[in-house]
Amino acid sequence: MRFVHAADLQLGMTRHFLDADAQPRFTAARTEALARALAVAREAGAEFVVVCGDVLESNAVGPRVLGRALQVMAEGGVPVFLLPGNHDPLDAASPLTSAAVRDAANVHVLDRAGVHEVRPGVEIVAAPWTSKHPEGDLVAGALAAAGDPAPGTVRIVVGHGAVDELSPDREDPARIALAPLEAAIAAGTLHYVALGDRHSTTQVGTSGAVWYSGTPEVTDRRETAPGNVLVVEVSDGVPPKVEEVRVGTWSFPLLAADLEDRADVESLLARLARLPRPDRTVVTLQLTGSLSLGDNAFLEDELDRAGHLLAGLRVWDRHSDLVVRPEPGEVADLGIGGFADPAIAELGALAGGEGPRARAARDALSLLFRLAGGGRPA
Amino acid sequence: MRLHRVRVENFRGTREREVTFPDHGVIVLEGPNETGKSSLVEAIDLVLTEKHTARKAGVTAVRPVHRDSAPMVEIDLSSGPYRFVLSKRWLNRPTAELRVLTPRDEQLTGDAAHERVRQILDETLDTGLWNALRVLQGSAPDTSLAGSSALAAALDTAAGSAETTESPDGATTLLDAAAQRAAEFWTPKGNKPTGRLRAAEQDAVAARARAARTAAALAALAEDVDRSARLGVEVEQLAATVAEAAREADELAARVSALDGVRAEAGRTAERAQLLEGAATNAAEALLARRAAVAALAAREERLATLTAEALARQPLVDRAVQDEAEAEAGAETARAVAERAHLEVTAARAELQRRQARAELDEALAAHQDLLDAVTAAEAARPALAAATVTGPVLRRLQELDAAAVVAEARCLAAAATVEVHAVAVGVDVLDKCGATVVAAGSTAQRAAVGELTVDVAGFATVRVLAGADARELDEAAGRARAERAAAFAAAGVADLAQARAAHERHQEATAALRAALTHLDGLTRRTTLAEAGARVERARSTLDALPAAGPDEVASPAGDGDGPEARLAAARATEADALAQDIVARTAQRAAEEAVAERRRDLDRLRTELAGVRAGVEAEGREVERARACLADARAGAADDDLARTAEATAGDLAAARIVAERAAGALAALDPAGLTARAEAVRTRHERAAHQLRGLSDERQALRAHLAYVGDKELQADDDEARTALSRAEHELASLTRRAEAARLLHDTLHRHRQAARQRYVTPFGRRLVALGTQVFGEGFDVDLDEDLRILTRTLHGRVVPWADLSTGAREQLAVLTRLACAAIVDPSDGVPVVLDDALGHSDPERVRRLGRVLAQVGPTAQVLVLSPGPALGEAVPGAAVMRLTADPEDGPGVRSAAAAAAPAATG
Repeated sequence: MRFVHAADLQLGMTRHFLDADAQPRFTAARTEALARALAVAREAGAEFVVVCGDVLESNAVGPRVLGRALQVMAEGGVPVFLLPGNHDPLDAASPLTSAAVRDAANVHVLDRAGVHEVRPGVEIVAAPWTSKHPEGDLVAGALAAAGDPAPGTVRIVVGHGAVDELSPDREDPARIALAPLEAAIAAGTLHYVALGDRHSTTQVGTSGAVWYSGTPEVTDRRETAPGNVLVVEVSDGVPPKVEEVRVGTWSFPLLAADLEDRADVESLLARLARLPRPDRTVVTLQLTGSLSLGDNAFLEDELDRAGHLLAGLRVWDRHSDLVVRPEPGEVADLGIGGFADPAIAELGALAGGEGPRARAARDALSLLFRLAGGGRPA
Repeated sequence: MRLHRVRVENFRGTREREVTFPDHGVIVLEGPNETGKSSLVEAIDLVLTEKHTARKAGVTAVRPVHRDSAPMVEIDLSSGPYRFVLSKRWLNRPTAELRVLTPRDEQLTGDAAHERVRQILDETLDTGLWNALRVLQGSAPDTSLAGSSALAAALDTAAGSAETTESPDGATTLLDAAAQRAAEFWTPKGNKPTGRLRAAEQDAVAARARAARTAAALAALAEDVDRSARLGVEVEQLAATVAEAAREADELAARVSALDGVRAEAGRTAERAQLLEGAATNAAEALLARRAAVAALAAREERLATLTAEALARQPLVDRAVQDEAEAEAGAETARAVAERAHLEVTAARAELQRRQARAELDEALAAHQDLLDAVTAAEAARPALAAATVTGPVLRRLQELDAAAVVAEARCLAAAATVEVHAVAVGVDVLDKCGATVVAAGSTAQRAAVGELTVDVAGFATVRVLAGADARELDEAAGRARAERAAAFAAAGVADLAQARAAHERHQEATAALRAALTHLDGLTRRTTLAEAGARVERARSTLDALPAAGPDEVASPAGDGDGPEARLAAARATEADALAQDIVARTAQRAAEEAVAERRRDLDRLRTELAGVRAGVEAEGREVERARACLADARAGAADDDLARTAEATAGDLAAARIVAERAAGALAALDPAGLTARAEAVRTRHERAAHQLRGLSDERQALRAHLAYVGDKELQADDDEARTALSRAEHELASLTRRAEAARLLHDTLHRHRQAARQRYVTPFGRRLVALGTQVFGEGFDVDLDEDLRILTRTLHGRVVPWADLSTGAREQLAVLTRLACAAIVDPSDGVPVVLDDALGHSDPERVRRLGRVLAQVGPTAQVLVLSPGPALGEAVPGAAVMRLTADPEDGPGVRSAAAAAAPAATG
C-alpha cells in the first residue's frame, strides 16, 4: 500500500523580504507544490495523500487561499487527508470546519483524535490540534483513544509537532514521545508515523518508520532540506520504503564571500549569475573583507543590477563586515585637492574605526567617490 | 585677465566708442552722468556671456532707444595664455567672430566662437573674482569675496599653506555637490529630515501603525477563539448545575408538604395551654390581693398607735418653752433700764466738757489781747527819748570834720609864723602875743611863734614888736574862721566839745534801738493776730460760753475743783466723758444680747407648737383610713372567704402544668423537622436553579453570537492583511534605514567638507586682513583695524580704539572699505590670475581728503593690476598719481553724429 506523506504546506504564507512582485509568485508556488504532490501521488499509484498539519499558514488566511487549494485537490483525483496543526488548529476560527471544506471533493479533515478508516484494513490514527496550546502529547492521546487494531490492519499515525528526541524544550507538554511509537512499530501494531512541523525532510528514531516529510516549498533560509514530499510504501512485516521526491521550485540560498579586490567581486557576481531560476531565488549575502572605494562602488552598482533579476537579494548586515577603504592615490586620482584633502583624510581615519560612525564615514567616502566622478566607466 | 581694448557701437546711448587700456595701472574714465561709463562694463560682461543670437531682456535692453540699430561689442583681452579678439552683434543680423592670437592662431565664428570663448574663460578666468572685484554704482557695498578660487589660492600662498594649490575648484564643486546631496535629506539649518527621508520616516510610522492595527485584529481573533473554547466548557458546567438544582428542588418540596400535620398538632396543644394559663393567673392574683389587703390594714393600725403616743409626748416640751420665753423677756427689761441710765450720763459729761473748753478759750483770747495792748504802749513810750537825742550819725561826722579843719588851719598858721626865741639874760622879759603876756624869767629861754603881732618887752629897755608877714596873717585869719565855724556847730548841736558830741550820739543810738525793739515785738504779735482780731476772738469766746447751758448744781462740785488749773479741769472733763461713753457701749451690748435671747425662745416655742399640731392632724387622718380599710375587708370576706381563694389557686396551677408539658412535646416534634431551614433551602435551591438557567441562556446566546462573529471574521483575510502590513512595515523600515544611512553619509560628507573649508578660509583671513590693514591705514590713519569672518567679510572696523560694526558705519566709510577690500584682493592675487578691478562711481559719499588718500592707495596697486575707475568728476582722477585719465563726452543721440574719437588714454600729468 502506497501513499504520499506531505506536511506544512503553509498556504497563504507571506515573506516580508519579498517585494510586491515576488510575493504573489511565492504564494502561487505553494499551491502549485500541492498540485505537484498530487501528481507525484498519481504517478506513484498512491492510494491517498496525508498532509500532517499546517495546511494553512493561519486560520485567518481568508477564503481565497483555501478556495484555490480545494480546487487543486478536487482536480487531483486522489483522496487527501488534512490534519489541523499548530498554525491552523481546529478551533472556533478554523476554516477547515467550513461548509466549503466539508463539501469539497477528495478532501477529508482529520477532525478528531483517533481512528479514521481509509478503507477496510487501512487506518489512520489522527492527532489533530484543537488549540494553539495543547496540554499533552496529542499523538499518545490519539493512540490511547484508538485502542488495538484488528489483526492485519495497516495503521498509520498522522501527527504534528516536535518529537522529544529533537525538541530542546523539555518544558513543552506537547512534545511527542518517540519511544512508545517505536515500540508499537516493533510490536507490529503500527506501520508508519507521518509527522509535520519540521520543514526539513528528516527521519527520526531507528525504526525507519518515523518521518518528517518537510515542507514541499521552502519557507526560510535556515531550512536544510525543504521542498520534498515522501512516497511511502507500507507492507505488513517489513519496514516501509520511503522515497523523497522533490516538488519545490524556490530556494533561499546564503552566499558568503570574502571580498578583497576586484577579482573577488567579479567572482561573487559570477556566482550570482550562475544561480538557476533567479526569479524564484532569494539570495542572502554575507560579505566580509575590505574593498577600495572604486571596487565598492563597482560592487554596489552590480548588486543593484543583479537584484533586479532575483526574487530577492539582501545583504545580511548582522553577519557582514565589509570595510571600504580608500586606496592610496584613489582619492588623489580624482583630482580634488584643496580643503577636500584633509577632509578626506579625516573621513578615512574615521572609517577605519568601528560602530555606526565609522560606517557613516565609509558611506560618506563612497558618496564622495561617486560625487567626484569615481567609479564611472572610463 | 587683462583688458586691452573695448569697442562698442549702438550700445544704449552710445553710438560708437573705443577705449584702449594700458597693460597695468589705474585708468580713470571720467565724464558726467549718462555718458556711458557704466555701459562699458555692461558691454564687457555681455560680449563674454551672451550668445550673439540671444534675444533675452538683458540683450534687448541695450539697443539704442530711438534707432533701429544693432548693438555691437568688440573686445580685445588676455586671459591666461590666451589673447583674443571677440566681437558680437545682436538682434539684427547677429554675428559672432573670434580671433585667438596666442598661444596659437584660431579663428571661429557663430556659436563655435562663443563656445570657445566660454571654454577659454572657464579654463583661465576666476569668475568669482571677476564679479567680486568690482564696486558698482548703486549696489550695496558688500565685502564678500569668498567665492573666488584665485583669491583662495593667493591667500593659500600668502598663508604659507602646504596643503595644495592644485585646483581648489574641484573641492568647491565637490562641496556644492555634497551640499546638494545633503539638502535632499536634511533641512538647510537644523538637522531635521526633509524630502525623501522625511517621507520615509512618515511611511515607517504609518506602516508601524498599520501593522499594529492588523496585529491587534489578529490578537482579537485569537482572543475570540480562546473565549469560544472557554464558553464551551462553561456552558457544559452550567447545564450540569441546572439539572442538579432541579432535582434538589423537587426533593425539598416533598419534605415541606409533610411538615403541615405536625404543625397543626403543635398549634392545638399550645392554644389549650394558653387558655389554662389565663385561669391560673386570675386565681393566683385574687389570692394575692386578699393577703395584701389584710396586711395593709394591720400596718395602718400600728401607725395610728404610734402617732397618738407621739402627740402625748410632745405637750410638756411646749409648756417648758413658754416658761423660758417669759424669763428671757424679764432679763431684757433690766438691760434696757441700765442702758437708759448710761445714756444720760454720757450727755451730762459731754456738756461739762464743752463748757470747760469754752472757758479756756476765753481766757486765752483775753491774754492775747492784753499782750497786744502792752506792746503798743511800750512803743509809744520809746518815741520821746528818741526825739530828744539830736546828735545823729551825720551830725557827729559834720562836727568831727569842722574840728579837724580848725586844727589843721591852726597848725598851718603856726608853721608859717616865725619862731621868736627870747632869752632873758638878766631880767625877765615880758612877751606879749595874742595869747597873752608871758614873763620869761631871767636866765631862761622861751620860744614863741610870731603870729600876728608879738611884742617883747624888756622892761624898760626895749620893746620889741614882731609883726608877722602878710602870709602869716592870712593863715591866721583862716584859722580864726575855722574856729568860729566849729564853735557855731557845737553850739547848734548843744554840745560843748567833741566828747560831748560823741556822748550825745551814743544816746541817740540807744533810743533808736529801744524803739526798734518795741516795734519789733508789736510787729511779731500783730503778725500772729491783729488787735482787732484779738478783740473779736474775745467776743466770740465769751458768746460761746454764754450760749452753753449753765452747769447743774451737782456739777459745781465737779471733780474739777477750783484748786486745779484750767488745763487739769479740761483733762478731767475729757476723762469723765470717755468713761461715760464706755459704760454706754457696755450697756447697749447687754441689751441687744438679752433681746436676741427673747427672740430665740420665741422661735423655739413656735416650732414646737407647729410640730405638735402636725402630729395631731396625722392621728386624725390615719384614724379615718383605718376605718375605711376595715369596711372594705369586711365586704370582701362576705364575697369569698380567705380559704376558698387559696384552694382555687392551687387547683388551676396544677392543670396548667399538665397542659404545658403536652404543648412542649408537640412543639419539639415540629422543631425537629426544622421547618424554617427546610423552607429556606427550598427557596435557595429554587433561586439557584433560576439563576443558573438564566446564565446558561446568556452564555448560549453569547456562544452563538461568537460563532457567528468568527464565521464572519474568517472571511476577512486578516492574516493576509497582517502579512501585507508587516511586509509593508519591513519594507518601509528597510527603506528608512537605507535612506537614513545615505542621509547620514551625505551629512557627514558635507559637514566634514564644510568644516575644512571654513578652517581653510580661516587661514586666509590673517594675510588678507594684514594686507587690508596696511592699505586701510593709509586712508584712515594709524590705529585702523578690521575684524573679518571666514568669508572675508568685514564684521567691525576699529579706528582710534573705537570698534564699530559694519552695519553702523557711515555710507562713506563702507564704500571706502569696499574699495579697499577689492584693492587688497587685487594686490594679493597672482598677477597672472588677476582680473581688472572695476570701481564705478564708487566713492560718491566720500570727502575729498579720503578720496585723495584712496587715490594714493590706488596708485600703489596699479603696477601689478589693472584698475578701471569710472568717475563723474575729476576729483578721483586727480587723486591718483600716474593715472591714465580719459574724459568722455556725451554722445548726442539725435545730434549730427559727432563720434567720440577713439582715444588711447595717456597718463595724465597729475601730482
